[in-house]
Amino acid sequence: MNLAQRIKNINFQNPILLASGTYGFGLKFKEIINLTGGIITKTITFNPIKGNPPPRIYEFEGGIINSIGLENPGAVYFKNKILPFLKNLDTNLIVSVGGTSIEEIINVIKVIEDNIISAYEINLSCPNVKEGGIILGKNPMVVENICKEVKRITKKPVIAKIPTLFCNPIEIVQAAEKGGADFITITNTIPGLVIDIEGQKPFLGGITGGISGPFLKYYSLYLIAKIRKIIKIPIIGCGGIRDYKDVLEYLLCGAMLVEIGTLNLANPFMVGEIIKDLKRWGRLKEIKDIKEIIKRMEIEI
Amino acid sequence: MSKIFWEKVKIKDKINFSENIIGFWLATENIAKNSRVGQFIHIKIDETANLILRRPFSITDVENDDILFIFRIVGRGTFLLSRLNKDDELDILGPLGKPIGIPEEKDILILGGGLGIAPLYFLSKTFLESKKNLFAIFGAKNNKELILKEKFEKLNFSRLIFYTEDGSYGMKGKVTDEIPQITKDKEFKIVYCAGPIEMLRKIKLMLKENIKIYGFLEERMGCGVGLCSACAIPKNDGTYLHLCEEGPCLLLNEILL
Repeated sequence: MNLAQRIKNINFQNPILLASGTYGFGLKFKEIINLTGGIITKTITFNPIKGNPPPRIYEFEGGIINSIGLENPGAVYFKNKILPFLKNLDTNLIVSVGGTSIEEIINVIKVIEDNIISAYEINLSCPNVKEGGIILGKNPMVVENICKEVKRITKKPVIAKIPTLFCNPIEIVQAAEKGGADFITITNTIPGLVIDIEGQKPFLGGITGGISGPFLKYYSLYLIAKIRKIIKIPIIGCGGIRDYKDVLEYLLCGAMLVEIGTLNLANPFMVGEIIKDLKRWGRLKEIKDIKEIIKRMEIEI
Repeated sequence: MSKIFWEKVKIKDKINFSENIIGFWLATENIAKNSRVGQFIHIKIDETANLILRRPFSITDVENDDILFIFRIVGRGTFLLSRLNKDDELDILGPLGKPIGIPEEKDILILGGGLGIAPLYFLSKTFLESKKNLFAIFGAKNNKELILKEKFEKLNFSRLIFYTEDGSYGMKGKVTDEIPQITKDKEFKIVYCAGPIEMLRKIKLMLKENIKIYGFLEERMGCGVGLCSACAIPKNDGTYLHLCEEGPCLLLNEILL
């Protein structure tokens, strides 16, 4: 089965992307990264962020809750000290960009803009920082403006990773599309809180966190099914993928690409296995091209 | 970064130290021969994936292609692990973490409390092979929980003192009770320690500031391979480092304990 697609002038050798925050900046496991359709880096902000106090991660049956707090070395460091080491990547480098204002997001892109970057994913939905991200992402006007401004300063495709809770996700995706976003990622982690009963306080050092993992798939699929006829731009499905079957669920439902995140924390080699399994499945079912699967399922919700 | 291997390994032997302290010898293909002192392995607990994250365990000993690790049952993950037996399979990643180099100093003080003793066996064995003079104090709640004492007794320590809180083996008391005397007998410039956080804090308070104190730390870990930034350890200067990359053995003088 051919897994490759050309979407918005980007060649994806397969529909699997590594989700932001779960595969670092692309400096490690390059042989695995090169098997995928692309890596989305940890979110870069203008100034360095040291991140939240520990503990930063909690596990429950069906998922995890993280509260890293957008730890990153800042745009200038990324441009000078990290980007040069990513030149030899054999797949798409997608940089996740974040900030507390439209200006910050624009300034990050101005600093890091480089030929080796295939696209930008704008993180409008990080639930575990106090400012920015999710606050910007909840206002349709702001989302539209951010997409518009970003498109004005870069020719590269822009992916909007939007929040879907405590806002109207339909309005947000429409705003992103109107602003010129080329892709929508559905969904980021959703906000969560863990209580430590012994200490009678929140467990996570950053107080709140983002819930991810297998349970999130069902919420994400619902949203994709709901949104797929409302917008024309391609959807990137994200949430709880554990194996090739989960990838197929997303594609059938209407996503053209998927992001794998939490699974990388369990095993950084697993994405390679999923890609192999997808090919094997396609051979078995005598499907020639992955495009035959995408949006194949009819659904009205 | 040294190469990281993902292997399905067989449990070669199970050691029951006490009802809740267990050791497994694993037969590996590449992990054992690539493991260095101070490193750890990351173990998948649950094939049904209800528990998503792996559990990190320090390497206690390496013999040819085999690795020994020891754990205490503290939660659901370690409980499930404890129910495995000889010939069962485990899914592991390793070797992970930053190897500890052989220090320049000739005389080295080693302090281990409770399960903290576990990584100090591999460390002691390796340092002794490099002709270092090791002065070691190991302690636990009682005789049963004082793991590896027979193995340690076979090594060529310059001094080896055991403590139990109930006096059921060696001296009665805690490892830290011995620090004033042993540091009076000999001037140490470097210390390696592992144990409960309260013990590490006390060691840091008791020793002079010019002594380098290396300690094994624990923190909730995500990937274990330096991708997710979950295992943050606060430094004195207000920044964080990542235990899975920089540790798990860190220079405690720089760490906010």
